[in-house]
Amino acid sequence: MLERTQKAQNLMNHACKKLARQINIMEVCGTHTVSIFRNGIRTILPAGLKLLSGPGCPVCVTDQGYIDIVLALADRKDCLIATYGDMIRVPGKGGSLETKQPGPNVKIVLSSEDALQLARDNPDKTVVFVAVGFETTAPATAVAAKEAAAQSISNF
Amino acid sequence: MCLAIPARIIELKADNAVVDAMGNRWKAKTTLLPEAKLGDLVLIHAGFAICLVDEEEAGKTWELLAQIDNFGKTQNKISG
Repeated sequence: MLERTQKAQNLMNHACKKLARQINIMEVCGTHTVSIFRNGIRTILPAGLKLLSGPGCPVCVTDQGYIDIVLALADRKDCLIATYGDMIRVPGKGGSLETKQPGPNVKIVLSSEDALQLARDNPDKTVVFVAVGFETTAPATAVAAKEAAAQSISNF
Repeated sequence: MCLAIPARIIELKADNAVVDAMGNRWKAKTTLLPEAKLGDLVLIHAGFAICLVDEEEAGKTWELLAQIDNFGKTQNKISG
């Protein structure tokens, strides 16, 4: 392992010297950032090679604590979890939403509107929409929240 | 959640639309794109129209999606 690391380091040093300019590599996914950090890869990079954290997707920027809360809510009989499919396999403490499947408490939705419909159809349950994401999903979440308030849907 | 697909608005009542992409039809909202009209091509993301798209762009995307669909049917799939 150490030998391979050394070899990789030599290759990187050699390549960077040859290019004689700064190389910037973007980490596309937050999980890359985490792996690189955990394995100490930054410490062996040559000076001319820089890793930049990329945009990150809604899944990998979701706080671990948030996922654990969702998992805890999924165990409650009075709750229904509505989530985009992306979150279903994200691990938290003691499993993922997928391991709760095919439990009736977790529903995959394609839209925040579907989550709201779930609340209309299940007045005896509190529907919790896993509102992950930023620019592209946050407005849709806001629309559903506004609609729920306007229509007095109190279990959403 | 990270995929947005161009689709045509084939029904529109207030901000409730029915959209069509490659023969697939589903419900979507135009709340975030109030200028969208019946017959417009829009980009649908997580059940919401988020912008207008032109015919050429939509055509290119549909073509790529069809390629992915065909990929599963081809004999020489990439192994490994």
